[in-house]
Amino acid sequence: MTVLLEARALRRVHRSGRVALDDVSLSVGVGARIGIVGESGAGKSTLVRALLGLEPLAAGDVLFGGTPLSQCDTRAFRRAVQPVFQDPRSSLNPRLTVGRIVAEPLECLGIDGDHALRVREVLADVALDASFAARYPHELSGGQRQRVAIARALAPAPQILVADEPVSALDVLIRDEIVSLLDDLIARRNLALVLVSHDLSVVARLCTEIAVMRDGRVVENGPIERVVGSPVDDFTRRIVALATSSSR
Amino acid sequence: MTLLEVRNLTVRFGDNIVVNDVSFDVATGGRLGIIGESGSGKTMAMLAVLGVLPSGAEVSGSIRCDGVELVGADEDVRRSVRGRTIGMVFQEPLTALNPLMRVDRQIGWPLRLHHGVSRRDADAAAVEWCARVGLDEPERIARRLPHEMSGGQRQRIGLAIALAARPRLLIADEPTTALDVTVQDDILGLLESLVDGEGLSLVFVSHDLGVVARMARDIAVMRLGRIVEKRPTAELSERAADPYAKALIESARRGTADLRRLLRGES
Repeated sequence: MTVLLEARALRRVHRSGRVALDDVSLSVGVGARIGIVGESGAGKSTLVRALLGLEPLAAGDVLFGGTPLSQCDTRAFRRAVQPVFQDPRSSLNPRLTVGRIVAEPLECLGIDGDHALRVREVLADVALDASFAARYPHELSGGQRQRVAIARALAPAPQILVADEPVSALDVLIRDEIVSLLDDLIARRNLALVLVSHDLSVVARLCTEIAVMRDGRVVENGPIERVVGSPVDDFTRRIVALATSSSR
Repeated sequence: MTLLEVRNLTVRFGDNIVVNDVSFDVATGGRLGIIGESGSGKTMAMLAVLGVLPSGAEVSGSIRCDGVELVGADEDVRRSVRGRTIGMVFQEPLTALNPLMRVDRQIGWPLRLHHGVSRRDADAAAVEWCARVGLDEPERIARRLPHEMSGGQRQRIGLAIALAARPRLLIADEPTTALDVTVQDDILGLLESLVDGEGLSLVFVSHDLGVVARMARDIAVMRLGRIVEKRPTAELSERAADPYAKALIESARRGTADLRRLLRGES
């Protein structure tokens, strides 16, 4: 499998001296679907931000197409690797219309072509009709806002979606819709997915590989059937047991 | 015996009806779960029971706690119920706790208010409560401020505050939603043992069906201000008639189905 994006022995130390990432490696191939699970403070979001090139690293490298981010074509990287964040209320600019929001990566990345047409296409992909382009984020429901955030990520035709808790701010029934939508979009476009979630059931629905993080380290990783089916690490065992306990 | 009897409770803000003709009972020792999504009115119904709704709220119907009518009652009457007969624990302990007050003083406050306990005795009781809610080194932790604690520790303090004045009913509104799953498991276990140990009645509010099913013997499903389904927990998944309640159950089932399949080694 061709490796698109790779984290090699990442180390991130905060000014307080806290080690947020400790020797973390991760490889994202074409069409890979990797779930990152762990509790708050485990380093999941820091890893995601590092993969997006947004974290200063004490050691290690993030490579895009085999080239360290510091040396690669930033526009090509940004175009290929698109983020979806947790809370669409704070990640969508409230002063812009949905059309402008979705077109923004096209403008920032200098992508040619008919932007209005592209906006209509990706809105249709997330099952929002063209009339949404004229609306503002505050006029939308939580689920619609997250659809807009996904449409924005899809607009530059990326190869990898990096999604940090994309459904945890949503009510359960809406969460199901968005998970199905992501599943469908990723399959149709053969996108790779790096998904951070504290909810193992969401990861089970969307991912084929899993990395379990704790205290800045990856404590267990591999194909999801193996990690969830026969966890080796104690912490992994406990979160699997809790997610599948009979009361749920 | 019924401890809390709510009849035709309606809460409105002007034309906006947030709780609509809601009725439920909580028996002595009963455990009622209320499940619903954001905006379903579950928290507003609980705030109405406690008499702490935001200003502008109009309340009608009846809320009787231990035989005392609370709707339209004087603030004195409501205050005598709140904290003494009914304890409450909230979702986000960081905002529910006073950031400037040592936690022992916060735990001791309901004792001083409702039972006239001296500050020294209240402080001693607070340390005991810290131990009872499973905090290590209770003498030391009792003197801390909320920001010096983890989320799980703060929620243990929240429970100690809610229970310090020995209420008979505990209302827990999403008490574990802000916590990690393993911490959530610990806190739910603690809550179960405290509710059993103190012989408390419980109203447990959550959007998470799995958590509600663990904590409650009866479940009410709220949607758009109304209770659309109400059944014993054991019967809910088989007998639910309301389409929305069914969808919630189906969603929870689907959530674990994939994981169970992986556990069985199927791909």
